[in-house]
Amino acid sequence: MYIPKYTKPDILEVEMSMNGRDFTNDKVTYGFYDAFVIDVSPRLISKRGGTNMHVKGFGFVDSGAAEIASKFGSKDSGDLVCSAQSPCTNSAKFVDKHTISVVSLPQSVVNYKDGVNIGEDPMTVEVSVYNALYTSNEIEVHYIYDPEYKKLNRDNVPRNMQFPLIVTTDFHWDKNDKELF
Amino acid sequence: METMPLGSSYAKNGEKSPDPDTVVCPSAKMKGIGVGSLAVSANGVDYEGDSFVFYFHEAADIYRIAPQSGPKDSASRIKLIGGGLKENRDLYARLGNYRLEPIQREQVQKVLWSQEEYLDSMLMNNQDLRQFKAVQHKLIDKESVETLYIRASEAPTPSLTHGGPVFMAVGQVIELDVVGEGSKRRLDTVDEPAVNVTDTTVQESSVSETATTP
Repeated sequence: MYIPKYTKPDILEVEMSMNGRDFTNDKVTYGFYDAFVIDVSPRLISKRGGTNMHVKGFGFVDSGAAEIASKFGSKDSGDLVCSAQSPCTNSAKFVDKHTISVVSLPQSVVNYKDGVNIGEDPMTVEVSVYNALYTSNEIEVHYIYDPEYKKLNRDNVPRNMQFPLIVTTDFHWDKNDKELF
Repeated sequence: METMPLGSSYAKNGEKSPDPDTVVCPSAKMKGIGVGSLAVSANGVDYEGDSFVFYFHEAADIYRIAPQSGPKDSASRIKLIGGGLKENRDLYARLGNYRLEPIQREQVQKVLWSQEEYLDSMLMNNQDLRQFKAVQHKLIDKESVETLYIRASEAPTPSLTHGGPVFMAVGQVIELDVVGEGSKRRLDTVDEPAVNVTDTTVQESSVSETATTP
């Protein structure tokens, strides 16, 4: 059987018929992939790593856990090195045809090629659904210094009303960029 | 997901506004009472640090006050009968007409009453109470009636009340901060006050109305 030409990336159901009328109903799918990233959320990620980021885009297919991967890079400096591995890649998970879930690496293992740590510099997130062909959409995320939440203005509220809660916070503005928050 | 601005600050006297140093959010409405916790996330995914322990309790409510009148310039004792009046929480009472006078926390004493004492305290017999449904609060199962005594402030501006009724309210959010000696008061929280205002005129009139239709 030949695969028909299709003008856009999508995931379609494939059903078979022996007589041209009675088709199977097995919901087996075939995907036309052309990964394209339009957004990553959240854009601010924790230094300790393990932040579950959702990569939003088009043309994602479920090509199996071995194929779906993510790559972290730098817009200006190209590939990064993480744990002596370059380019800096990590596994990823197919969620649906518009979403891939990527887990961030700890900041301490992400370095530039010259060995300098990425720090709070922007880092691009790209994905590949087949054969390590990564997107190049350059959506950037940042490691942040976790704000310290110090004090809450009150520790009790009536259950049936909404009160303003004010959390005194040290945002570490000397290290974090105010424009990013 | 709703994204709220993280951090806020206020510029004073035309100075450059300082960097944000607070996170502001409304507390959640809950069905029940009890302990909860509040955790904050900078990106909506990672909740870092310890969460704050947090209590949800019944809102203060006045069902009735006694007596319903008193001399204008003495610190007379007023009994508040209501629900959710817990002495171990921040609780404020206020009294007044246009200008509301805070009753300080130290002025509040708590007494727990039984249902019988509650009825006695109404200065009415049970039959009266049955007639005067309009002023009764219907108790839900397990709800307790609580009583607080406060010492009333002097009538704040007697000329405004013309000897008439003043409003009485209790709540947890009327946090009045006394600024300086001129008794200028600043309302720190800009929110609907968590109060149930008992307007004694309304009560009186509803009593007389129901009394005429037994």
